[in-house]
Amino acid sequence: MDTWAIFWAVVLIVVLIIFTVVSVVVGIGGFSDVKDLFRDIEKQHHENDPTDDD
Amino acid sequence: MDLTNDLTSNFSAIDWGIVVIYLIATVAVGIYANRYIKNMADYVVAGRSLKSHLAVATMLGSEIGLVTVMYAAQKGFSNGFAAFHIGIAAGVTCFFIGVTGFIVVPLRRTGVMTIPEYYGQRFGKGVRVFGALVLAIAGILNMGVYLKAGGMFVTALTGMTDPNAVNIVMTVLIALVLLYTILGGMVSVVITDYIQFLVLSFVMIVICFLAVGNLGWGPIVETVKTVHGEAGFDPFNQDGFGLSYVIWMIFTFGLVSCAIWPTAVMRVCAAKDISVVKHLYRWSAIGFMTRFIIPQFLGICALAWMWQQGGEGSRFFPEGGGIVNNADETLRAMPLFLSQVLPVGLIGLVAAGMLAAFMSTHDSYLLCWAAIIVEDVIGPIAGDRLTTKRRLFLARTFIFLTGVFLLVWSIFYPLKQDMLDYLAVSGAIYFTGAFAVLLLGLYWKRASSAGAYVALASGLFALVGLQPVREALNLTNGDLGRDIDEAAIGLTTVAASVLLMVVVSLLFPDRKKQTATEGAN
Repeated sequence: MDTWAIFWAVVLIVVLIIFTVVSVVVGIGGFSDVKDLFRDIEKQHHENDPTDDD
Repeated sequence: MDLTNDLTSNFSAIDWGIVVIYLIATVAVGIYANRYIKNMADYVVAGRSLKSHLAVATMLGSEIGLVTVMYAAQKGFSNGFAAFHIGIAAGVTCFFIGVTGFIVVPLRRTGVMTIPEYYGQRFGKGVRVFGALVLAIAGILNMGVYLKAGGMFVTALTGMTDPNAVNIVMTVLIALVLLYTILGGMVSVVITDYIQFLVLSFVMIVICFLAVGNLGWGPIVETVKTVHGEAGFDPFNQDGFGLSYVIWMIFTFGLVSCAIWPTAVMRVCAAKDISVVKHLYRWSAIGFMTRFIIPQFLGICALAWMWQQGGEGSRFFPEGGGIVNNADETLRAMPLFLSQVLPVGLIGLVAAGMLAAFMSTHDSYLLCWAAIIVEDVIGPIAGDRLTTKRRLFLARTFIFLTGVFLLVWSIFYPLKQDMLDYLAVSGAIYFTGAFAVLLLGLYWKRASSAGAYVALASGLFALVGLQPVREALNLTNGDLGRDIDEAAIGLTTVAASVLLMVVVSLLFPDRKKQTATEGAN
């Protein structure tokens, strides 16, 4: 039982560290991706026929 | 001892203020994003313009929602540290998919927007419509308990004790979600998923440290030992989960939730290219692991805290050992614990972040089921007569109707098993058959439409895993030598679906399609 307890403690610590790092990386990178998303969608609308079947 | 009603929540007027401001800001983002919606591709897959970081954030934003936090915490409360195996199964499987591209890469190459669209491309219009119907029914049934989780979270966290409070909160929540989803579509989903991911990840990390600081690591471990014994640590122990349950979790919350479940597949379809898909999965492995382990740990902390307050003989711990056999009570334990240990301000941020997460999960799923009904059931039947405007109108109408159904189901369905198990079983109606159809359709040339029909229909057998159905069929009283649990039923259904599809495909091949494929090759 004690071996399992140590194993799960290590898992929890590793998960917390990795999750913190990923949150920071994705948080910063995601911000520029949001700007690109709006730009890309507007570009697509521009390239396609805006009247379509609307 | 009614511990639930004896506790006074730390939730204050300042916290309500934080929640209201946060929710108004979220709805404003939805309205703002609405101006970017001009066609169904914008509405459903954000114009296929998602890049890696945003794709990861939005996938995690949808998957780490209030509902996930609630049912994962309930598992931690009910089973202790052994529940962590679910997170490991999910993370390792997701990473495996990110490295190998198993199922998701060939699926992305087909260029489809939804799984039923793939059914149509591979097996014809009939399979597409039938598969979409099965998927929509299973998916909406699966969502049936989400509102209950949201209602219980809000009432327990804020200290509402009125018997009608849960139903009132559920009604308000679904109204907010419908307003927001109907207006925004996928563009607003990805933006709010991103914001919500930032808030929730910060909040969850802080809560973990606060909880350990408050309770102490040693007492937490000791409580799990006292209440759950060896089964609280060893996932293979038959007094707890056992081997068949572990395999069921690897399949369900590993393979299926990453590669088969439609909301995950929608992210695959929305990704810019194949390299983004693989990148998305490799990074998301961490999130898929975290989304279980961190909330499960909060559930374990709630267990330790409740034990310290009442011990054996209290509301959560009946005389004779173990925990209370009431799914509603164990679901309420984690938010009740948070309402006691979090300070003013932070508790408001937690509530706001969780509610935004709740909206994020709901809008993703509502959008997904509506898109499937419109694009894969009505679309193929109506053909060219369905204009973009009409498609959007129908999608929004189905979102509204689904919301009404969810409210009714949440109020009247008696949840007699852990929420995670309900979700696995109801989802299995779809994914057991879908797994067979996708696997064999993508990797086996001789898979036929007759086989696909049979595989999809066989998924209905998974319904037997729902607790009220098992009770009605006397599968829980040991008449067959032992309880037939949901894991055994689910795994049997998966095996049966694959086997049936192989046998029926061999017996009834698609002669024309096979010839055409061979000719093309």
